[in-house]
Amino acid sequence: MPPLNPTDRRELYEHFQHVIEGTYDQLLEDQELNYKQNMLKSFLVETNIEPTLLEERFDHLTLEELDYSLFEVLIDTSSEEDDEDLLTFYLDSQNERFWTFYSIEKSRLAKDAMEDLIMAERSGLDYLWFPAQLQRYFTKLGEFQGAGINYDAEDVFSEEYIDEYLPFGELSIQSSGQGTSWLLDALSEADLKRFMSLSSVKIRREVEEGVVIERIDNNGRITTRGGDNIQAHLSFVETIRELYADLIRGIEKEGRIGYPIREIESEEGERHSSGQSVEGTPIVINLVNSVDDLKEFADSFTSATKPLRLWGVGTWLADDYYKIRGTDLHNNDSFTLEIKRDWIRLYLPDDACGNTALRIFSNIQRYYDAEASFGERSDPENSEVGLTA
Amino acid sequence: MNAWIGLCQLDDRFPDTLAKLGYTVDIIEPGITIQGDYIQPDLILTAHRRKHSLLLDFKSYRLKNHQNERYETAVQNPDQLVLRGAVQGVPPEELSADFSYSSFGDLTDMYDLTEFDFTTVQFEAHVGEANLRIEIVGSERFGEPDLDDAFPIEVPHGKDIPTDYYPFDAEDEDRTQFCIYMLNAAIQLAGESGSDPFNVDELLAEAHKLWGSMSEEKKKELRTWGEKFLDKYNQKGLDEHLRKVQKDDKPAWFHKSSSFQALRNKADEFINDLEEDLGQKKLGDF
Repeated sequence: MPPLNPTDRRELYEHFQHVIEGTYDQLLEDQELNYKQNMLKSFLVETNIEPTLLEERFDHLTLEELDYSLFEVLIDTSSEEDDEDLLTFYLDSQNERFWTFYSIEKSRLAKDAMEDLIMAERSGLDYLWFPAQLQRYFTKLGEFQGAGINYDAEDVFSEEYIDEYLPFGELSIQSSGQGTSWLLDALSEADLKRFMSLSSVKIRREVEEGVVIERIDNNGRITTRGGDNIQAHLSFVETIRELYADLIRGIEKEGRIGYPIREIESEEGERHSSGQSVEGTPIVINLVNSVDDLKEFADSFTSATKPLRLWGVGTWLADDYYKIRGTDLHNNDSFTLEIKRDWIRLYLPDDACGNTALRIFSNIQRYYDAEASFGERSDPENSEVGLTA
Repeated sequence: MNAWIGLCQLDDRFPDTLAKLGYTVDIIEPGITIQGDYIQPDLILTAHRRKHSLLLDFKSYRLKNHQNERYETAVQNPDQLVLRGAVQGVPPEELSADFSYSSFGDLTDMYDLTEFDFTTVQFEAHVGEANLRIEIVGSERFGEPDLDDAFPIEVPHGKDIPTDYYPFDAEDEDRTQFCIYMLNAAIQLAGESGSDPFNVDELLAEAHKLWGSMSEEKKKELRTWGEKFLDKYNQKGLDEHLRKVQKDDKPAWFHKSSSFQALRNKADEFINDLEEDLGQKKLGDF
């Protein structure tokens, strides 16, 4: 086993190779891991900052460059109650927009540490927000082996709202094995599809480089349960990143509203700025799970609490038409929502991050309507994955 | 304004009638001088492949005769629209243009426009099976036949006017819209640079992305609204709440969601009071 302190990318990947081989063999043998044996986790994160800014923004984090665009990140998670606990991550910042944080720490600790980083206000970091359509696409990238369903309306809506309008406050199912597809089909036929929000999918992927078994969570965490070639995992991470990046590019190209300035020439021949045009269109999100109380729905989504961290104030446009003007507290982007019973129109300014659109959309799916879909015109162009129904 | 812009966009929940004919938004509220006369139509739409522009002026009540003559001059000299930079992408000598007043009321009932070749387009809510009906009233028609044939346009139930392209005007029915955009602008500015004190123009520029190109007359009216908004805002104690969530030296976790929620509750109270005070009309009331 190579040293735990890699000095370059090759050493790091050699170490990961041993990790994924080890977890694969152990699970095959005993169906459980040994004490202190952890799986490789890869956290895909969207960013708008440079790596060197991490130390400035987070007191409890230190950064050391190991190789070109590769850093060791130490996060101090100690508190008054716990002894000092230093968690180690490895940050690959080769892609300037989408970083990968690798970790072989315990799953819960790593997840919590990443959440603290990402959810800090204006951290410059965000999760990837995989819509249900993208999650379902992942199941085709290998042999489908399992899925998690998490419908968490109670994290967003009040008890009163759930009692009055929703059949479930929470629905959670974990399934692995060849019966998973059958189970999901059966639940769909039972008219439960709008509550079947995929929180994770598990696939066995066999490619030219080798085999990996991956669990992909809906927020960009990939857990490698085992494999025989780290290159297979790295290429899988790249595939997921590119699929997501295509969606973002499509949204940022067409789904934001800009007001370019036009210049006008006076009769004296002087040019001055006068008048603007408008470009771009809002994103339409269609709902299957109709909204009965528009204001309550809107208020629940813009209450500033986690996980959404959206703030807004609203007003009625008509008896059946409600509007929210708000701010995404995560990145200070402004947005507007127009809400009808069966659809929502989302407006983002031209400097907004496309990730905001996918965050709002995938959270509508997770907390309200797993069958929500983009309108035909809003579907990102040139993406292999469509977000329509 | 929003409806006309919406007709030129590819929006699943609003008709794209003009977009299909090739019309796009060329320019919003341009101030142009043509043959010595100043006009400021609210909107110019252009179909480049048709080499046709539609100038629009939205009116509730007041029409001025001198304005009619100026618009007539503009339509009779469409090359000037290109040469003055109001219309782009069409050779000046090839452009044709129409002008139309547009209103939620029937202007032909109020004014005699027969001496001018203007169309008048009326918007009417809840007509028959339609959520909204957009039709040409009066005897004049558009010079561009396909454009003319596109009307009336019916917006079925299940679709509705977009309202964010041009979020508010200096019209009384827009006061609530004005307030929600200003409240959010306050949050935006507080989040970027602190909140004490707010500059009205900065708030307005943040609230309305077309502020920079508005006429001075409109800006003056909106500034007055903005100052009243800030007075009421401070009276309601919103400034105190905003200070709790503004950017400062404290770590990010310090700004608890409870502070934002308290701010939202206060803002909701503010909006409710305003709506009661003003008896705000909604879209369907027109």
